[in-house]
Amino acid sequence: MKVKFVKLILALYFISPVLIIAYYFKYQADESLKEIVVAVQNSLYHGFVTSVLALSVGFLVAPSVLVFRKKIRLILQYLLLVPIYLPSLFVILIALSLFNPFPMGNNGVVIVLIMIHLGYVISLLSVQIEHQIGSLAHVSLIYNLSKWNFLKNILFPQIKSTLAFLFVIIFVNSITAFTIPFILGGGRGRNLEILIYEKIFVDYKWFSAILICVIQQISISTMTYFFIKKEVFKKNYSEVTYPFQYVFKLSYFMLFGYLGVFGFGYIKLALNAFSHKYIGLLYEKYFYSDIYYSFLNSIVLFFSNIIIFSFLFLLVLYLLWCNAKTRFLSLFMNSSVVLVGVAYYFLFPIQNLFLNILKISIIFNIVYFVTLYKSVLEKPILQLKSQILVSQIYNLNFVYCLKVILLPQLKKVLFYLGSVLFLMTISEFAIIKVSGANLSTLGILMASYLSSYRLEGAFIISVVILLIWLIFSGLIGVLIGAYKKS
Amino acid sequence: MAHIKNLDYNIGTFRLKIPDLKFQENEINLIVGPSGSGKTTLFNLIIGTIHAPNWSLMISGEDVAHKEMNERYLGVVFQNYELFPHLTAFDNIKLIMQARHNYNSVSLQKLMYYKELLNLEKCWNTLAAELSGGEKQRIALLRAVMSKPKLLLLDEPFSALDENNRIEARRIVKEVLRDLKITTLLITHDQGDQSFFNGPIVKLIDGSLATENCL
Amino acid sequence: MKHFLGFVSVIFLSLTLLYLYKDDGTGHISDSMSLKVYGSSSFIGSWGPGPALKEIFEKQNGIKVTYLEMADPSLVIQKISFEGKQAVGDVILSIDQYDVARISDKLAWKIIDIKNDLKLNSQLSGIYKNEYFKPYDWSPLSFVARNQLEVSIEKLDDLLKPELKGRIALEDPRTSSPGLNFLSWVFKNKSPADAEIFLKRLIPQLHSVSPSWSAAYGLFKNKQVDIVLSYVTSPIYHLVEENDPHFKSLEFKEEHPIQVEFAAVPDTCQNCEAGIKFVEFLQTAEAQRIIMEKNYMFPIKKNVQEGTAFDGVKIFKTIPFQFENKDTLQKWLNIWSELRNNES
Repeated sequence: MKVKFVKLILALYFISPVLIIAYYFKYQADESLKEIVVAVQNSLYHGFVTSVLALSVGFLVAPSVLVFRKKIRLILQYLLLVPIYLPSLFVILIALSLFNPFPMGNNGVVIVLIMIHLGYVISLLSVQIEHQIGSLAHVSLIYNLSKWNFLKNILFPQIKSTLAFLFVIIFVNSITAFTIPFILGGGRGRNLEILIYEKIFVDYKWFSAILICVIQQISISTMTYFFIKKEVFKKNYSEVTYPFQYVFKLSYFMLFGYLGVFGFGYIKLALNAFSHKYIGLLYEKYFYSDIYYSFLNSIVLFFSNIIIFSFLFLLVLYLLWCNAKTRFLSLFMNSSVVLVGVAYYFLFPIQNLFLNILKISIIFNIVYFVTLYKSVLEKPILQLKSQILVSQIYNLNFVYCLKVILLPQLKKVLFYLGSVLFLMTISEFAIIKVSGANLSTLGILMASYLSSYRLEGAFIISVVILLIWLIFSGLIGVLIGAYKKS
Repeated sequence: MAHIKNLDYNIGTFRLKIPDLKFQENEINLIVGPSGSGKTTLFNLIIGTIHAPNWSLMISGEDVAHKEMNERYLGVVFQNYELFPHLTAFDNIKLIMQARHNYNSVSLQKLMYYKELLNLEKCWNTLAAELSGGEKQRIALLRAVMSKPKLLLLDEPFSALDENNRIEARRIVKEVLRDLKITTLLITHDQGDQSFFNGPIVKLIDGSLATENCL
Repeated sequence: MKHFLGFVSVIFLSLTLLYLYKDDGTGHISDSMSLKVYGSSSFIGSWGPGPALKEIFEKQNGIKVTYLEMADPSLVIQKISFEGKQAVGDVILSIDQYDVARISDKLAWKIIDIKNDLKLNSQLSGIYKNEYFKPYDWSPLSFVARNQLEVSIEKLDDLLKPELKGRIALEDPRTSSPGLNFLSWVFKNKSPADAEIFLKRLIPQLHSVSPSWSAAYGLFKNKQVDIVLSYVTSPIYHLVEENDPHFKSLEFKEEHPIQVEFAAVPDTCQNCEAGIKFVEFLQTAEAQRIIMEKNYMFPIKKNVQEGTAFDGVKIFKTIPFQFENKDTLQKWLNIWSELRNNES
């Protein structure tokens, strides 16, 4: 009974935006099938091509990370994650500065989506290979298995489930992308998410927006439900480094080339922003007070996001404690930012500051909780399932088990998640804008500069965001001992 | 015959120093010593996962000390066997035989012989992840010997087995290796292993050869 | 771990308390002494005209102004229509003539009878025709380019020149007012059939159709494109803020379209009197100068731009301003959508 109640709360939470819009607007049957078909085609193109290319390249490049010593490996694995958590606008501007002319349209959208996801694929795959292959690579080398033989018969079968998981994550992320096809689609790369936006902001057909959202969500839910299976991988971790004989030489160039592209592209734009033409911005009296108040707002919002996330996480942990299935959560991955934002815009009054912050956090977690949980927390928690069982055998209660057994073992993972949430929160603007929340965070400040002539100001703010993130992650990590050897 | 010369390896405060050590050809040579004596370090040096400067490791007349792992033509049975879990018992062996260009009708015949001898028919087409400890141990051994190794290394191959299985496993190993005549290094800290195999013993204490070595 | 959590909790609570109870020096202010104004981020942002206008208005009237950022006027109007009497918002800014045509009927508005003598340019006389929506700035639209553009562009048909293929950034008329203004430019200077043919030939010429002015202008600034649809006043920004004189607005033989921004007071206002006062204030010379210099748009009041960088800007021949009919706009957008759909 309790389990069903918890599942109901979670399900209602995630489908609440649809219910809200349905409450406010009546259905009008006037869908254009043609535009939906085109949007679906574009969505599938973006999702499929991005996933296939990112995974193919990632699979070949990932082993190159493991050739390095542990400390360098860790640094590389972290650096590779930065592009996926950077605001899309940064990546778009980097891409535009690197490719001139940039191919606007579907291909341009795919290029940027691959740029964003490739680092994530390489990083995650390298971690999985590290944990799942262990000494098998050395055994294969001892017995003189050729590179291709090893990749085909040993490595690929071992990480097949991880590849499938990543395929789904990238596919879903790509088809629900908004900013990238919006700006780079050139008007031709319209996907379902943009169609939802147009139904709301252009055609004022709210109920049509729901219908399209439902179509999108059903496709996502079907994919995630059937392809993301609960897999507890066996930790076969070994201290030995991966043999370089099984790494393609080209993959080193690709690895550092990829990091270099981002680093170079970003530094080039940042230097331009700090050049003499725009440096005057730093002397504007409003600039620093804007950053100060936006920073404060961002911190408060971050804590609010953490609280809601923690609450949802506790509910999921409770389900695991009761040995209930949590696969249904896959149905709620990557909800439409536009639809969720607009739904809560109407629900919450605009003036109340506390409710504004709460609203943003609710929306943020509706959109991101399931993805973050599945990609960061699920596997480590499922590995502790046997310890949950032992706790129950020895009559420990849920709270005690959580406090004494689970959380201490999840410290590093939770810190990593906190760091990711921090970056996402301080750079968040899409949700805040669409939900009309009237809260100036660093992300909103950056977006404001972008919407005027002051593109370079947006870059300066982006440097500020990254610096704050690095300092905070570094400080907090040191304080809680996240960087110590476990 | 395997012969180590001028091995001097430092890691942290530990030093493994073996000026000259010859292993008996076609025999099961035991490498024994207490925990931290350098057995695993020596094992890793011979396999090639770590490297030392200026030493030589002669195997069948060839110095392989500075060669890569895959060029040393070794056979290895690890403590936890390291079978490929997603492949069947047979496929684990077949893959290695093919890699070592030893997959032909003659070898297959030999393989089938040992399959029967080691009582592996029932688990032949079972995934390695689903094998019992004893079955894994026998498959790992068979995989190693069918790879046509110049030198065979067994790293505490019986430690994961219960007493009954261990006795049986020792018997099988001795029988197979005597039959195939492969120079073997067996790393163990178990007295029972030492008594059973009764072969040449290399004793390591604090990274050096003990004076009472029987080589 | 316990101590760390305690430390973090204290910091968090302190921040929250400080934040929620910060005193901005105005003390308790009743509704009649406060005013809520909706505006776009570029207007109410620190570098926009909003802060300076707020300061002056508050000093002159003793009424506290609070800005509320809006992503889109349509959302705000929709929300106010849901909230009815509970709605927050005394003034809505950043409404252009197309917003007036398409969404103004969703709400009731207060009549604003302003006695300001604006001495408007003759091409703007049409803006008097609405008693609810009051203008505060305007600008003709054109294409903006860098001085070194080697292609001569003097009329709309010149945009079809092969040497311009892939070099033009346009805004999407469905999501952007400048884009919609471009459609009106085409349809008002050509016959319906010719306009459609022209657009059909233009679309493949374009580098991209961006969803907003800022996205299109960003492409231009990044040198991804060589010309972009923008405001005639855009080069002044580069001249004044960046000391860069290398931008120019292209003068076309056809009359240029005009973009006008309006302010209005919804009927659900809490402090309607103050709202109307604020709208009137926007048309004073003092406010007009601030808007001109911060928004980089022409003032609605004549003579304000004398002696400024805006004075030197040539006023192109413009289409006389009129409020468009909603159905006409929809017809143009349908044609555009059809052409775009066929293209994809």
